[in-house]
Amino acid sequence: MKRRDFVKTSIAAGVVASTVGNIFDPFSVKAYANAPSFARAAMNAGTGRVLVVVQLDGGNDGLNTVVPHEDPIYHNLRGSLAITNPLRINDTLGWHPAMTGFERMFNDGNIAIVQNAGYPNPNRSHFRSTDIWFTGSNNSSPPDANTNLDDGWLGRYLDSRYPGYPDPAVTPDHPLAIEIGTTTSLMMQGANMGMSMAIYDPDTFYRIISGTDISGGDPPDTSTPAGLELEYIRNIALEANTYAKPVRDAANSITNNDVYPTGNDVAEKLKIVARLIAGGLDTPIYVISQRGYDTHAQQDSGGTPKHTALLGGLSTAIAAFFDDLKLFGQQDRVALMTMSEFGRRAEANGTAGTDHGTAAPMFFVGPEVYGGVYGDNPALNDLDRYGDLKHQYDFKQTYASVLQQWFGVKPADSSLLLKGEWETLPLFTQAPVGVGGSGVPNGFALDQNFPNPFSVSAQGSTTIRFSTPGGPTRLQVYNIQGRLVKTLVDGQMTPGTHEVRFAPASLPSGTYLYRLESARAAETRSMIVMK
Amino acid sequence: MDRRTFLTSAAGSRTGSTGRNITAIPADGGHEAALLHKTVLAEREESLKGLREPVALPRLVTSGLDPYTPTTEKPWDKQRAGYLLRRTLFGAKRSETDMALTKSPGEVVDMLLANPTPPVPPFSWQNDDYYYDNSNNDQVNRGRLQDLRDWWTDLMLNQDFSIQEKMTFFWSDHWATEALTVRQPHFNYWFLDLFRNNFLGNFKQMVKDVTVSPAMLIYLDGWYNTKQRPNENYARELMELHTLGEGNGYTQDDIINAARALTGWTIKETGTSPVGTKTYDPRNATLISNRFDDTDKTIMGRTGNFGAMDLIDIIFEVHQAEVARFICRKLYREFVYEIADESIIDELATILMNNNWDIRPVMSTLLKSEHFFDTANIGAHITSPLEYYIGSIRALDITTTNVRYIYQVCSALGCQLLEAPNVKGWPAYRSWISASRLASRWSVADELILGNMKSTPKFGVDPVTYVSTLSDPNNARKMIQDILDYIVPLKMSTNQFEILLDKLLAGAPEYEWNINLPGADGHIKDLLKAVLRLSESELC
Repeated sequence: MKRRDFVKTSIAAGVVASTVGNIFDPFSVKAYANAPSFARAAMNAGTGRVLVVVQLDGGNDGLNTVVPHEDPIYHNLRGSLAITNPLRINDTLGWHPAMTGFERMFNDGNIAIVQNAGYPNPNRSHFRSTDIWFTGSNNSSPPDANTNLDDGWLGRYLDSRYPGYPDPAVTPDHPLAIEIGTTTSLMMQGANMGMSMAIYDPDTFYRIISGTDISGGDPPDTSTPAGLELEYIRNIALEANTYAKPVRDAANSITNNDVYPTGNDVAEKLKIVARLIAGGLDTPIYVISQRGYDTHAQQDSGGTPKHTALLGGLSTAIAAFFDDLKLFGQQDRVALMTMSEFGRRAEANGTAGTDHGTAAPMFFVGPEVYGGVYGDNPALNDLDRYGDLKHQYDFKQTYASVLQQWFGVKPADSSLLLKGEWETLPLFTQAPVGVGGSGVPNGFALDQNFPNPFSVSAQGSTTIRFSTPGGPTRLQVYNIQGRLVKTLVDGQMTPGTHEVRFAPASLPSGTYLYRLESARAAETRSMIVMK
Repeated sequence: MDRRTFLTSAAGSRTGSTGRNITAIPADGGHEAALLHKTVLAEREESLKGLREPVALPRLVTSGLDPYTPTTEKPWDKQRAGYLLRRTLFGAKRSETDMALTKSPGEVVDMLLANPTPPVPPFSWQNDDYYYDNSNNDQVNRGRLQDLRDWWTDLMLNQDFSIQEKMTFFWSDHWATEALTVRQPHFNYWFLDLFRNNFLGNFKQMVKDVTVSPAMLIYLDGWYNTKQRPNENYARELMELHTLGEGNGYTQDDIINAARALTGWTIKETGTSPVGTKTYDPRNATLISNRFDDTDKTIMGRTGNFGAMDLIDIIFEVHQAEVARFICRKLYREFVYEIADESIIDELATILMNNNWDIRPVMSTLLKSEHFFDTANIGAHITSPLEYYIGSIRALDITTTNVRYIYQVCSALGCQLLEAPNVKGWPAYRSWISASRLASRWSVADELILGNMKSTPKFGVDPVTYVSTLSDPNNARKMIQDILDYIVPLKMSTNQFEILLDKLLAGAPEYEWNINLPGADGHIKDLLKAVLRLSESELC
C-alpha cells in the first residue's frame, strides 16, 4: 500500500484557489492595539532563529538513503534493491545517487547525519510511531506517565516560550509556527491548543479571510461538548483573522531567487517558507511534510522509481532553499531537520520493497550545523528478532540538542519539555546569544502556581511562589482579555522567596495570567482556573 | 442514568478515583479529543501522584440511553429535529425538518433506519470483467472511476430520507482505501456496494466480506500474501484499525501468524482481454491453494491450521467485548461526539453482542436516546466537508446537476471520495478545520450564495424564493430567526443577532425591510454569507 502522495492534495487545492479570485476587496484585519505593552515586550525575547522541520511521511528507508555500501550483509539483505553507485560520504557510507544536493551541502560541512535514531521497544504502526516522534512519548510496556503524551514536543516548547497564548494580551504579531499545507500536526500541539497555523497560499488566504466579522458571540459554555468545539472553531477563526495580513505582507514583500527546481512539491513548500523568513515574519518554527515513503512494493524500480524521486526531490529542494536564503542573507539563522516515523526492515521483502522497520538516520541542515556523521554504521550483524536495526541514539537526544543549542533552552527546562534528561549531541556550532534570562537580576524568579489547574470549589485557592531581589514588587492577575483581575502584591518587599495565595471567589473558569514586576525585571505566567 | 465522569487516557480504560469506568481515548486515534480534557488530566495526574486529594471531575453529558421524549426544556423543535437530520443525512432540507416535526422523534429515527429502495447506477460496466488497457493509458477505467464518484455524490445530494448514504460513507472511512492504489473501478464499485447493502448490517460478516474483497486484497497487499512470502500489511490493519485498536489484545507474533492464515487469497483471473491483458472477476476473489500456508498457526493463544475466516472468528471470540466496544465507540464518535462516554459504549457493546453483531439495534437505541438528544451534544460535531458543503446546498434548497464540481470542492476541503489520506481513513474531527481549511470553506460557501463558481452549470441560492416561504419574511428579525433555526445548530447571542441584522439591512431602518424591495436579493445574500461564516455553522 502506498500512502497518499502530495500530488493529489495539490491538485485538489487548485480547485479552491481558482474559485476565489473575485470575492473580496481586502481591508485591514483587526489588530489588538490595546494589548498591554508588557505582554508584547515579553514576546519579543526570541532568538530570531528559525527551525524548519521536514517530516518524511510513511517511514523512510534509511539504509538506502545513507548507504553502508561496504558492508556485504547490506548487499545480501537487499539483493536487487541494494544501491551499488552511491555518492561519497566517507569510505564506507554513501548517499542515494539521487541526493546530489545533500552531497554538496555535506561536503560544505552543512549537514549532520545522526545515524540509527530511534527509541526502545519500537512500534511498527505508522500512526503510533508518528505520534511517538511528534510527542516525544516513550513506548514503554506497561505504559507510564510519558507513554501517551498528547501534546507535541515543539508545541510544549512554544507553550513555554509564549505563556498565555492565545490570550490577545500575549499574542505576538507573527504566528508561533506555520505548517505549509492544510492541516496541523500533533508535533505542534500545545497544552491547551494547537500552536501552529496551516497556510498554503498566503495571498488567497488573506483575500478570503479579510472582511469576516467574528465578533459578537457570547463565550461558549465549555462544560458542554458543543461549547468546547465552538471555542475551538472560534480560536481558529481568530488566529486566521489575526495573522492573515502579516503573513500575506511578508510573503508579498519579497520574491524567491531563481534557484529552485520545478515540479517539486517540497521545493514549492520551502519557497513559501523562504519568502516568509526573508519577508520579515518573525515566526520561529515551520513544518512541512513530504508523503510517499511507505514503500512496501516496487520501492525503487519501474518507470518512475519512487525512492529516487522522493530523495532526489527532498535533497534538491533543501539545497535550493538554503541557496535562496543565502542570497537573502538569512541563511545563518535557519536550521532544518528531518524526521520519519521509522526506517524500514533490513531485508527486502518479496515485492521489491521494504516493510516497516525501526531506527534510521536523521538530518540536520544549515550553515550553523556542525556537519559530519554522528554514530556508527548500521549494525546489520546485530538485528532484533524481527530483523530490524537496534537504535543507537534516542531521537529525543536530538530534540534536546535542538532545544538547548538552537533555541537556547536551559538544560533543566529542556528536561521538563522532553520528560527526562537526554544527553545532547553537538549538532550546532554556537549557542544563541541573548536568551536564557540574561539581564534578569539575581534573585528574581516567578514559579508556576500550585496547584495548577486548580478548582475553586474543591481547593479554594492556589499558591504563587516568587523571588524578588527586594524593593518595589508587584504581583497581579489578569484575565484572558488582558484586564486586571486582582493585585496580590504591590509594595516594598524584602529580598528572598515569598508565597501568596490566590482565592478567586467569583471568576469564570478559564486561563488567567499572573505577572511579577520588580524594579528591573518582569515575568508573566499563566494559570487555569476551574469552578 | 448514572452521572458520568470524564477523563482522558490514551492508554485505555482505567478505573478512576470514583470507582467507575473513566472515559478513555481509544487507541485508534483522538489525540485532539484527549487534549480537550487536558486540564482534567493534569488534575488527575496530580492526584495520582498523591500531591492532593482527588477532586470532582467535570461532567459533560449525563443523560443515558433511555428513549428521549420531548419536554418543555428539550422540545422537539426545528433545532432538535434539524440536529437529528444533520447527523444522519448530509444536511437537512427545510422540507425534511418540517416533515420530521409532524412525527415523533422515534418515528423519524425508524424512518431513517428503514431499508430504502436500492439505488440503480446510471452505468453497468461494474458487471463486466475488469482488464487494464495499455493502449489508451486505461482512460476508460479512469472515466469509470469518475462515474462512480459522480454517482455517489449525486446519491448524497439527492438522498432518500435514510441514513444509508451516511453509513455508506462511514464504512468506506472505517475500511479506508485509496483509488490510486486500488486502480480498478470495478473493485471500488463492489466495495461500496457491500457497504451500501449492509449499511446497518452484520459487522462480523462485513469484516469477513471485506477480508476477501478484491479492493481490500489489492489495497493492503493481500494479493501478494503467499506462504512463500507472507505480507503483514492487512493482518496488522485488520487488528489495529478494523476490529481492536492499536496494540489492544494482539502481539507482533499474532500479526505474523494472522498473515499466514490470510495467505492464498487473491483476485480472480477469468481469461484474456481483447488487448491481450488478463481479465478479472469484478466482484469475487479466490483462494489459490498452493499459495495458502497449510500448517498450524498460533493466534491469540489458539493453535490450528487456520484460514482467513477462522482468523476472524478467533478475533471475534477471543476479544468479543473489545471488538464490540471498538466499533460502537467509532459509531458514537461519528454520530454523537468525538470523546466517547465509556459507560454508554459499554451499553451499546452489550446490545451489539446480544444481537449477534447486527448494527441496526445499536443505532436505533443510540439515535432515539436522551443521550443523543441532550442539548449539550447539539452542535458538538465538527462537520466533514461533505456535511458542510452538501449540507449547505441542501439546507438552502439549491438544486444542481453539477455533481462533479461538488466532488471537486469536497476534495479540496480535504475529503476526496474513494481516496482516503491513508489506511486509517480521514482523521476528521478537528482536523477538518485549520486556518487554511476554514478559509477554503468560507470561499466555497460564498460561491454557493453568489452562484459564481467557474464550473458550469453554475448553481447558487435563489434568495428571495428561499425566504418567501418562511413564516414572516417581511419581518427582518423573524426572517433571520427562521433561517437560523433551520440551518444553524446553536443559538445566537443578542450581539451576533444584531450583527446579522446589520448585514441584512446595511443601515436601512428595520421597518422598511420587505423582500419585494429592489435589491432585496443582494441583502439576503449578504446575510446568508455572514451566516455561513459563523463558527457555529461549522458544527452540526
